[in-house]
Amino acid sequence: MLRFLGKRILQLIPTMLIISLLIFIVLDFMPGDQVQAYLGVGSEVSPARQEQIREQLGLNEPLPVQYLLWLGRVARGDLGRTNIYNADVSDVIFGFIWNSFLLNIFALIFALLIAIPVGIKSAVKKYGLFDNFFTVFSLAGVSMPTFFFALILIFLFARNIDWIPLNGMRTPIMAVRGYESLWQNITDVGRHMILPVTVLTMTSLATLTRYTRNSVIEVINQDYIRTARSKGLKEKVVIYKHAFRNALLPLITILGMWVPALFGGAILLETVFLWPGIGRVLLNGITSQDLSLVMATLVFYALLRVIGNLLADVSYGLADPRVRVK
Amino acid sequence: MKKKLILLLALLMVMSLFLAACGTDEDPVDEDENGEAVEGENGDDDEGEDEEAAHELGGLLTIGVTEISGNFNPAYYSSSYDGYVVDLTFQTLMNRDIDGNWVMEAADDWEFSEDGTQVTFYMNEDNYFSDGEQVTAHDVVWSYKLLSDPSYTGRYGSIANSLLGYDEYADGETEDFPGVVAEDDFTVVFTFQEPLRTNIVNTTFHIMPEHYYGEAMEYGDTEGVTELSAEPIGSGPYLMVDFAPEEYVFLQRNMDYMYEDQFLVEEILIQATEMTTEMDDLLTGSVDLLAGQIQADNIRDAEAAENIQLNEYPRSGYGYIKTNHEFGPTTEREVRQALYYSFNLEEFVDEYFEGFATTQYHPYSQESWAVTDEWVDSIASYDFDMDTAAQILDDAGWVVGDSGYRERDGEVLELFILTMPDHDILETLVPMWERDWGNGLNIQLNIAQQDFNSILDTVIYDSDANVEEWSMFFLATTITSYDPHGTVEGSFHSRHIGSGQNNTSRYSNPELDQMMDDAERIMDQDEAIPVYQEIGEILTEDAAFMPVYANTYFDFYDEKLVDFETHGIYNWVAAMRHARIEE
Repeated sequence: MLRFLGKRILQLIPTMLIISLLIFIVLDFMPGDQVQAYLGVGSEVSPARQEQIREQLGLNEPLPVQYLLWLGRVARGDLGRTNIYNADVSDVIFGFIWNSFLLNIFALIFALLIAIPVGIKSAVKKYGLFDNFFTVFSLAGVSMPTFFFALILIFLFARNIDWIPLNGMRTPIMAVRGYESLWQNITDVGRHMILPVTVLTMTSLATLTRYTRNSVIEVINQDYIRTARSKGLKEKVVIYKHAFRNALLPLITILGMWVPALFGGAILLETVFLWPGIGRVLLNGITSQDLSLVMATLVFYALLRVIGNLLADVSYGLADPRVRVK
Repeated sequence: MKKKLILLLALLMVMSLFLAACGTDEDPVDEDENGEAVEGENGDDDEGEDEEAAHELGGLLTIGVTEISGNFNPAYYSSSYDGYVVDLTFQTLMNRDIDGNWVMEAADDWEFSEDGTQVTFYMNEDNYFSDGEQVTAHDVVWSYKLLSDPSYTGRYGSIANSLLGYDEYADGETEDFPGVVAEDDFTVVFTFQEPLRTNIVNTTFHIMPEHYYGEAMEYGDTEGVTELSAEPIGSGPYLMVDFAPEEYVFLQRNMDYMYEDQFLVEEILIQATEMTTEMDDLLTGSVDLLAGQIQADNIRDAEAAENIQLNEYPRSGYGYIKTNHEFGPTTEREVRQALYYSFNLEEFVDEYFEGFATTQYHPYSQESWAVTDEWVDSIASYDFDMDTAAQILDDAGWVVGDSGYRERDGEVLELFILTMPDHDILETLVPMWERDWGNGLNIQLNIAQQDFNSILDTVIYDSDANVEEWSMFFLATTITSYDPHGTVEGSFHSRHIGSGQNNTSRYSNPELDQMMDDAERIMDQDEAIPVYQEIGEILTEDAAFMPVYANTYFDFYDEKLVDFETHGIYNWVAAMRHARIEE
């Protein structure tokens, strides 16, 4: 197992190099000019001075040199500085990912708590009323644009129920004055999480429900389930003890990919709900052409995805010895 | 084995409890504009009435903004929202009052030298930074040296580049900078390369304490200043006491601020709002002030709300169309005039802005001192008139040919118009152009869609290589200056033609160039007014570009905020000087 893991981790290195190179090239192709965007349209900074700034920032070097310089800095743990936040990119990313993580982890927990029983029940009573309802429900959940759903919730709930805030992560004036107790702090953040977590839960719920359902359906058609039933076991025992455990395998794969994604922010959701997460930071970076920030954030997202795949493979191996790579 | 996985998941969940909070950020300052050079006055301005003295410091004002990135370093910030905090926490030598007159801030007095190249400021000796250190002339000198340093990468270098010795200092040739000199601890002298009226505004960069920011800097190495991420230390009316990026900034009145009777709102909370829900924030009392609003629906909602007051003023700036003066039919004045006559500005303003906008035919801010009502009424206008437009084209030899389009000498009258996708204003304008220019005047229109940055690439950043790629484009501008010079000089002087430069229409008129150069040397504002009016008239008659609309801006605010007066240049931050909270 360790060898397998080591091998996979080594494979990550060229993968990330290729991804970062592609991102670097794509960002270079983006229209606009980093220095001019920073100086502002209509800036009176002379072309000679602009050139000086370009030189200071190392932007006058040929693209391959710029990439290698960037790589060298990253190897030393320096992701560069962001203009808009005037801070180290790594500090900015690390400062915001936890806010995104907070939303995502609760959404995942709620989604799992709902999706697993619903998926199982749908599988057991395939094509019944319950199953059909959730099929339609899942389709709607997957299809509805996040921001649209978010706005509906804001208009339906935040506007009409006092204790559900419109947006933000906490009540600024309460944070400024200092919370009276930890509990007050938790409930304040909790109130602000209700709507965004609902949206995130709904969107992941659809996928998870379908996965669970299909996986359980596949398992309950297996011979050993028939054997279990023929032994006279109760249906509940058959489903939850025999079928569900095996049906978990594909679900674990999905979760393996999902865990790193917990650290990635949803751009639209965080924007609509003014959630100070990494998704909003990325959007700010793009609109301000703050390329060091965008580059690092995109590479970070890519890294999450790659680690997700790795975890999926590893967890699958852990759960099912048959697929462990020799 | 599944247990291992569950354990792993549980561990991750526990880790999630270690939430991250806010990062810190830096400080900062100033902004760049052009201004007039007149009326040195003292202290604060006109209040002085007995009742004013009775007002007391107090209250909390919450302002909604759409971005809080947290770069509060006067020399490096780039977002105008961060600029609000910079303006509230740092001082300048002097400021403008709501009428555009200079009023003293950190200086007590100032004077121009006889030849107009030197400005001397006599600073207040009883003025302190928020860490208790005295504000001196050396801090002013240091702040300008930062902007002029060879390694400076911020956007405010242009504030210093007209000072004597700037080029040598900025190029790293010498450490002497005769442009700004501290004659003694409280007298600072600015010496400019040329005697220009517009120099004066360049003396008003924010004063940064040398003992704090300067510690991290030496000549040729400013990196340490950019990295200073502690709280901003200035001598302005407010102290930044709390900040959470993308969430809020909390400011408290600086009790040591030198003007006790000004800035009487005790606490200011600037918090993030989102455009789709900011009106809900206002109407539910989550925020007290939304500045610069333009949406008709929001305006009606605010008008209908009982406890909301509105300030209404025309935008200082406009949306405009620039035409290419180096390529294609728009190089001809007659074609530009015909296009202008056949462009129904009133219809657009009514339809798109539902009346909450005005039209103007001159290039200046409506707040500029060069703009008077009589002058505006007297200048040429291009009121919608299809017949006149057609006649002008006919007279110029552009007549409808076999192709169905207007032609001259076998050449079709053809325009390449750059537009942006998903742009509400252009989605209203383009059908109007197709109707009036395309079908009405038989001009062949080629409408290309590019995103905003690509358009900037084409017409600004890489404009030399793209001269023949376009005939016209639409953008908007905001003017922050009362002095009309920067507005016309940057956009229409031939020295600003070229990649990265602002004369995007590539307009070249040697006579006008000379007029602008001469006008900048007129030190007296009243004397300069007719000259700039003439410049404006020439540009309008030439149809050098087409201003399309100046939106009407609104500030919505809770009625507890009183004495709050704003206009297109004098924003809410400036207005805080005399505003107060009356609960």
